[in-house]
Amino acid sequence: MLIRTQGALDRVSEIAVWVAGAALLMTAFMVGLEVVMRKLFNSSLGGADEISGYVFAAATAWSYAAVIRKKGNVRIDVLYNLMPRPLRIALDILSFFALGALFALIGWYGFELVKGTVETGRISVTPLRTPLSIPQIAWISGIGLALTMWLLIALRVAGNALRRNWDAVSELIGSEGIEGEIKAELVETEGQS
Amino acid sequence: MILVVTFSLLLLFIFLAIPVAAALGLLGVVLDETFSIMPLRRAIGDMMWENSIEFLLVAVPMFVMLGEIMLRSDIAEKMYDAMAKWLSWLPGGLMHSNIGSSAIFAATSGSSVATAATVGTVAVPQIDKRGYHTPLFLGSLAAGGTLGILIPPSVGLIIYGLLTNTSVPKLYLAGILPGLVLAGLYSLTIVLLCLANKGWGGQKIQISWTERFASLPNLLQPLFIFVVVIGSIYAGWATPTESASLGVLAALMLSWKNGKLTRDMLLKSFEGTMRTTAMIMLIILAAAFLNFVLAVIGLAAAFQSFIEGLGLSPFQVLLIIIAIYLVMGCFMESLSMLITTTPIVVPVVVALGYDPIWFGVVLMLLLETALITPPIGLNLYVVQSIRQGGPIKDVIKGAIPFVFAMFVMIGLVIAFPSMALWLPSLL
Repeated sequence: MLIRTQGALDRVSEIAVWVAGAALLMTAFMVGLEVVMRKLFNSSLGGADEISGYVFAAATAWSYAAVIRKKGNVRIDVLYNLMPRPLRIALDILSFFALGALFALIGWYGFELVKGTVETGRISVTPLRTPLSIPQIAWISGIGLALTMWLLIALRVAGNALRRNWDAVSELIGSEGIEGEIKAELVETEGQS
Repeated sequence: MILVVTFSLLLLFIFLAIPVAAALGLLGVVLDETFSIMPLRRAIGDMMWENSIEFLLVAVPMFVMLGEIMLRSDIAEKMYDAMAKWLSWLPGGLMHSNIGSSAIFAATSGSSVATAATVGTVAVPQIDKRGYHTPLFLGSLAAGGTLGILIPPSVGLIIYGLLTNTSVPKLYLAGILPGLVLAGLYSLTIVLLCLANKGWGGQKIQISWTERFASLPNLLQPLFIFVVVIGSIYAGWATPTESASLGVLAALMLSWKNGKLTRDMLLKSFEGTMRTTAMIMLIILAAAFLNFVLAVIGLAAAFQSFIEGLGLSPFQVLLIIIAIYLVMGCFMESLSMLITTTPIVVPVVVALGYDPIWFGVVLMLLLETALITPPIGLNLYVVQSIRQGGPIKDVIKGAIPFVFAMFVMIGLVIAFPSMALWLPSLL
C-alpha cells in the first residue's frame, strides 16, 4: 500500500520536476525576448522580471519533493562516516526529522501568508498588479507536495524501524555521502563525451 | 554568550550530519526562542516568499541549466582537442590542455564541479595512452575545475553579490584577471614539476601549425556562449540574470546545431537543473531566516566587537579569517560554507577597511581551495569517480602542488589588490 503510494508520488514529483524545468526554460525565452525588444525596438514587454520570479519560486517549490526523495540535501558526513552503524541510523532519523521540521516551518508560515493574501486579495505593487494569490498558491502547493513526500517516507521509515529492517531505513534516508552526490552528477554527464 | 552558543550549536548540528539547510533553519528557531524578545518566526512566510521570487537568484537555475545543456551538447570534446593542439608542446603536455579547457569551460559555466566533471571525462583516458604521471594529471583536473567559480560567470559570485549587496557585474570583472593568473600559475606548477621530474610529462606530441589553426573553429562555440553571457552584461544590454537567460538560449541553439537536442536530453537537463537549484535554494532560504534572527539578536555586532576586542591589526584579522576558512574548507562543502559565513564575516572585513568586491575574489579563492583539500574536497571525488579504479590517494597527492599555487594566488591578491579591483574600476 505504502509502496504503491510511493510509486505514484514518485511519478508526480518526477513530472513536477520536468514541468518546473520546462517552465524555467520558457522564462528564459521570455526574458530573452524582453532584452531583444528593449534593445532593438526600445520597447518593453514589462514585468518579465516579476513573472520569472514567480515561475522560479513555484518551480523550485515543486522540485523539493524530488530532492527529499533522492536524498539530495547536503550533509556534512565526515564524522558520520566514522560512526558505528546504529549511531548512523539514529543520526539519519534525526536528520530526516530536522528536514521535516524545516519544511513544516516553511509550510506553516507560508500557508499563513497565502491565507492572508487570499483573504485580503493582495495585489503586487508593480505595473503588472498581479493578484498575489495566484503565484503564492502555486508556490505553497509545491511545499505541500514536499511535505506529503516527507510524510510518506516518514511512515515507511517508521514501518521498517518497527520491523527492525534497518537496511530499508538506510536506503530511504541514509546519507548517500559525497560518493552518491557525485554518482548523480556523473550519471548526468554520461554519454556527453 | 550569543557567539559561543551560536557557533557551538552550528558546529554540533553540522557535524551530526544534519542537512545543512535544516541545521541553519533550526539554529534560527533555537536562537529566536532563547535570545529574542519577540518571536520572529511570524516573519518567516514573508521572508521565504520574498527570497523565493528574487530576480537576481533566477540567475542560479539559469546558469545551472546552461551548464546542463552544454554537458550534453558535445562541446567539451572539441574544445579539449583544440586546447591540446595549442598547449601540449609545453613540458607536461596535455596537462596544460586540462587547465586551458577548464579555464575556457569556466568562462561559460558557473560551477566548479561541472567544470571538473566535463573536462575530466574527456581527459582521463589520455593518462595511460601517453604515459603521464597519474597523480599530477588527476590533480590538474581537480584544480583546473575549481576555476569555474572564479572566472565569470559564477554562481558563487552571484550568491555573494546578493548576500553582501555588491554589484555582480563588478564582481565578475574582478574575477577575470585573478582567474587567468591562477590558470597561469597552475600551468607554471606543471612545467616546474615536469622539468624537475623526468618522465612525468608523458610522450611528446608533434603538431603542425596547420593542424593548430584548423582546430581553432572548435573554440568558437564556447567563445560564442562567453560573448553572449558576459558581453551582454558589459554592453549594457542585460542584467546578470538576463544574461544568464540569454546564455541558456545560446546553449540551446548550439546543442541543436550539434544535433544533440532531443526530448530525452532536455528532460535530463531539467532534472539536473532542478535538483541542484532546489538544493541551493533550500539552503539560501534557511540562511536568510537565520541571518534575520542573527541581525535581530545582534550576532554580527557581537562578533565585530569580539574581533575589535582582540586588539589586532586589520591585516592580522584578515590572516586569521583566511586561516579559519582554510581549515573549515577541509571539512565543509564550499557552497554551504559561502552561504553560511558571508553574512557574518563580510561586515567585519568591510569594517576593517577592506573592499567587499576584493574580498569576494579572495573568498572565491578560498572556496576553490576548499574544493581540493581533503578529506572533503568535492572536486577530488569528482575526478576520482571519473577515473574508476585506483586509490583516491593519487588524486589527493596530485592536487597538493596546486593547493600551493592557490596559496601563492591568495598572497598575490592580498599584496596587489588591484589585480581584482582594476577591471571593475574601469566600469
